Amino acid sequence: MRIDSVKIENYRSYKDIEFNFLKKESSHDLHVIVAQNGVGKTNLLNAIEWCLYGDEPHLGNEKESLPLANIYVFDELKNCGKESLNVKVEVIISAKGESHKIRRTRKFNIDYDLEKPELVQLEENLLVWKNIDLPNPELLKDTFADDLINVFFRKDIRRYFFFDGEQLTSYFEKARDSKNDNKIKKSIMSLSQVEILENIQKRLKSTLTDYKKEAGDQVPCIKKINTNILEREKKVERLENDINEIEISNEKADKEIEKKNVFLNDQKGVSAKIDKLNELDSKLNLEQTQRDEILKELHRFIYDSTLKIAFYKASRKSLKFIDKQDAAGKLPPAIDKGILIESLNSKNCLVCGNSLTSESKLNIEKLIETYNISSAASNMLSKLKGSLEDTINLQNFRSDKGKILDKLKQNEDKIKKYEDELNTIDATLNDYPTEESKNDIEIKLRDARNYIKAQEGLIKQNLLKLGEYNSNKVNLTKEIDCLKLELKDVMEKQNILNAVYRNIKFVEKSLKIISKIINEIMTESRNKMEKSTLDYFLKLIWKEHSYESLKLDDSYSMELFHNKGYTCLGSCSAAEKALLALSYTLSLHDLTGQNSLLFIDTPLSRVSDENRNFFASVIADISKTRQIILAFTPSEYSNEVKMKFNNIPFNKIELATNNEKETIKKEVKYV
Amino acid sequence: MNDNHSKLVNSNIQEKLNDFTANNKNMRDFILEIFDQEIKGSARYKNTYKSLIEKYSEQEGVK
Amino acid sequence: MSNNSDIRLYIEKKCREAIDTIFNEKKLGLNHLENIDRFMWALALGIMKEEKKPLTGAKDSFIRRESISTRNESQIIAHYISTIDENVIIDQGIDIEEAFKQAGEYANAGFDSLESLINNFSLEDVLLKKLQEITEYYENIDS
Repeated sequence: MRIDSVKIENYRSYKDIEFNFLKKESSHDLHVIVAQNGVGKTNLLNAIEWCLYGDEPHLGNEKESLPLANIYVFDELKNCGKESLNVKVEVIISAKGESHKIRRTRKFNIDYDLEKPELVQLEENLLVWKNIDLPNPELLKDTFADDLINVFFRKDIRRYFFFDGEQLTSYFEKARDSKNDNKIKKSIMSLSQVEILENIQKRLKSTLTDYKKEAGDQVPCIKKINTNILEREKKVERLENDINEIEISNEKADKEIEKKNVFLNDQKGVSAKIDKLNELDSKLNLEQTQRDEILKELHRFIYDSTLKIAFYKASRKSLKFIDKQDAAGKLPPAIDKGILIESLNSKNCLVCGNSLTSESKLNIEKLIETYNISSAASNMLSKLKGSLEDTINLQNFRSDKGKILDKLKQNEDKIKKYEDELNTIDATLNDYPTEESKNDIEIKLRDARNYIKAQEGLIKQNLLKLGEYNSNKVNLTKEIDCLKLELKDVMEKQNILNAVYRNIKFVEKSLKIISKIINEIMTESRNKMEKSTLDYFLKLIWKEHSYESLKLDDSYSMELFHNKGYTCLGSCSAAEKALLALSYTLSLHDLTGQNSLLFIDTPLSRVSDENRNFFASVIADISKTRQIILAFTPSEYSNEVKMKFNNIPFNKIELATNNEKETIKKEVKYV
Repeated sequence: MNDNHSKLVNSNIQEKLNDFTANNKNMRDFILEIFDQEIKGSARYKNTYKSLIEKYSEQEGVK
Repeated sequence: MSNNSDIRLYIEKKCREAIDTIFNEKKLGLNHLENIDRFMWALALGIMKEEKKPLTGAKDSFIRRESISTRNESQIIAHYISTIDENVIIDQGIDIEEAFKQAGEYANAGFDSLESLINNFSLEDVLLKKLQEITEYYENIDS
């Protein structure tokens, strides 16, 4: 989509002007506006945005206090005693062969009752004529008008159509700080219909709560279980978010460490000191790993010994008691119950071979009964005897303890020794002045080492947290599972609830599917956007590049990676950053299907002279695929740029002021 | 199920939905119909949702 | 005597959390120990203190008798036997339910002793303190 024309009346520095951004059958769609600072470049940008969205995002502080209406026109009208003033901006846009006219007006009354006549703001009106090439274009008002504009120039990503140059180079810093307010993500969600899915998700969840409540109202304990489940699920959700953040942070730190390690490895042999440091580092690492193992062994020893020692007295006393009972014959004999039963069945005594008399039958029956009662105690005591005997062996406690503690001490001594050596060398390195001898390789190596240490510290802390969070999560999930089982039990017992229960299961199932779809789509779009931004960037960048990959985080903030593996957005030149911003913008246009124009105010203000002609050719190139409107200051519109543009067809409008009162067209050159 | 839905839901979502509900046409139809309702925009969504859930979950139970 | 499967070891919820703090910490290397092992340790600590504490708070976690190993059950019963009159056992047999109830109370006291330690020291130090305690207990075991 493009802007065909902009007509402005009484808006700020403009009194009555029309800009035609016509495109004849030309290969490029490039339009250049040249004007001194303060003449009206930014006012044009603001006028367009005011017309489309009703606000002026590029207003400087000094202009904020001035009225929207042209103050000279106001003076003229005042002098003639006129009662009102109209501000009007009309933009004609076109897309897919259809043109639409957008008109915003604001009416002001001139109030003469005051000491000094003043403008009093009245109503503001937005009108859209749809399809103006048709005989009777449809007229849209209010939200319908807004909706049509949103189809072509989505308000939430407008900063990717209308730029000022400052914004272009500080693009990513800002994006990172504010996390874009997630506007990009939101509009991608909206365009890919994920927003609808999320809405469904929300509504299904709310319906689910209703069903659960319904079930709960009928059986109060269900309500309680449900509340418990819900509470835990919320906690799990929070934990998952935290875990995710930590993992991302660790991933970053890992990458940072890796690239510094690559650097350090490259420097092997350069410095004996650093080589020694590295050697000590790996020795220290080994000992520290061993220390963890020894500590685990010690803890296990403490656990086992606590049990043995604590139960020692009781076990010994019980054993004595059992032995005493045994010796006194108080324990009933252990008789094989099977033999008794079999004897009874076969009517023959299996021990002596004689057939059973009715008297001996009766005796055996009694014996089996006694056996049932007393053998429990007998069995228990003999079982006790067997398993207690091996728990009362405490002989090795002292020597085992000594062994482990010795091992720990030796290990700790080694660690201390290595650490001391490391610190000594580190101290000599840290004595180097930092500023003056920046080139000193040892300084660089030292800084790299210190950096690694800091990152490792961060990872370590993160891992601790991660362990805690994960185990909390596991516990909560277990609890949730138990509660769900319990719930199922209760619900199944309550037959009446079958229908509600079935609905609950069904909704839960559908929610799972929907969230899977959302996840996949969002991951895919992000990957697509990463790839296409990098593709654009590598295609557009003029100098030999060493960029390898590009990553977007969950909120679509960007990281650019050097082929050495480190992030390098910070060290890019203004021109490269601007280029990256363009690449990002173009791929956002692709992804969101908003193949829109780019209006850039002072695009080269931060770009150094030598890069300007390259940048200009990039822009010229992009103008083959979409409309580009550039507003230059005369110094920006330098010879290098002119020369580049002179090879291609483009429109040029030069602006000036009429006695500093009104912006007028000084020179117009159409292709 | 009629084919009206495929006009409303974009192909990407449709494709993934087909994948995730390969063995459960009933569930697929349910999600599509609810999607349909969502696009049409119903003010009293709860009633719509509940009647759809009840209809489809009953069918699922019968199956 | 009641049915075996109804006999369980009960723990107070609060105490369960205290001991899980130690046993869930992977770094300490005790995280693979089961609930019953955790319970046994608390019981051991309670026995060394020679204190029991009735379960008044919410009874939370329980361990069914069938999931307790012979060795652990023997220890629980041996301790029970050592605390009651021998003649009672000879006359009435061993009341397993009572033995388990008593174990719960000792474990409860054991957990209690851990709680304040955990709040004031690192987990490693808690264990080292316990090592010191069992060493002292060991030295006086025959007195």
